[in-house]
Amino acid sequence: MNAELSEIKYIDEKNNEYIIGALSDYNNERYGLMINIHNPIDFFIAKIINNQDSIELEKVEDSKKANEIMNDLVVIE
Amino acid sequence: MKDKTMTGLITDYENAKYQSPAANKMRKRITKVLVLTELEKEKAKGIRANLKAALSFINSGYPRIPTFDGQKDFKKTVEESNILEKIVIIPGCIILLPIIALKMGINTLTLAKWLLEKKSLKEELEREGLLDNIIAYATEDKNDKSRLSEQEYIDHLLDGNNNYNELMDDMSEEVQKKGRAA
Repeated sequence: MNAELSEIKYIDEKNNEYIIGALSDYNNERYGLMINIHNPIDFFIAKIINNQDSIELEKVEDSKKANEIMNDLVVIE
Repeated sequence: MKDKTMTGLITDYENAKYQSPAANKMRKRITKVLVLTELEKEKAKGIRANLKAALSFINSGYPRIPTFDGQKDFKKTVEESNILEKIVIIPGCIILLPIIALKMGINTLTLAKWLLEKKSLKEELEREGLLDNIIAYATEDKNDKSRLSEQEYIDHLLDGNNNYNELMDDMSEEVQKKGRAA
């Protein structure tokens, strides 16, 4: 799973391309540190929701929660 | 894995906010999920290596300096701890500056300004091609959600820190008024 995740990129409407830098299983939910591969200064933490035919990324805006998630992040290889 | 298209949303933390026009601006729609090219795989490998070093630094507890003991001057403590120097030399720390600032309990703007104030670090940053990034962080951007909000900043300052006047100097006049009122 991690190996596969490490080789994909997520593209948004503005053609920004994000990779998953690190993962965290916080409160039994999966979170990722998403980094713009062409502009690493552009990054955010998001909850990764795997649906049947789509993937949803729910951006974490709560700074305290983001801080807690950061403590458990593991960089994917 | 073959290329495939997936739709999804990078949504805000609270679903209720989706209903407002302002919240729509915060949405990012994922239109595609693609496999990285070989070149991008190498690039990703480098980014993750830097990230690993930065996370190790952040989670080591090193940035948790004795900020709010009410005895020491905050900025002086930061300088004595050599945290600024470490942030510059550890790969990846610069891109994670907002998170380091969050861990330290200050906003990114302040941390970036302190880095720029140190002449020796400024030269190092310039050599490493990182100066533009720091200047970008030191430029106020109210849409940057990775930073502490003004109110969070004030709350943090007032939370057990009795010696925050110097930090207040870095804040806008409006924020300072709010801080005094609080």
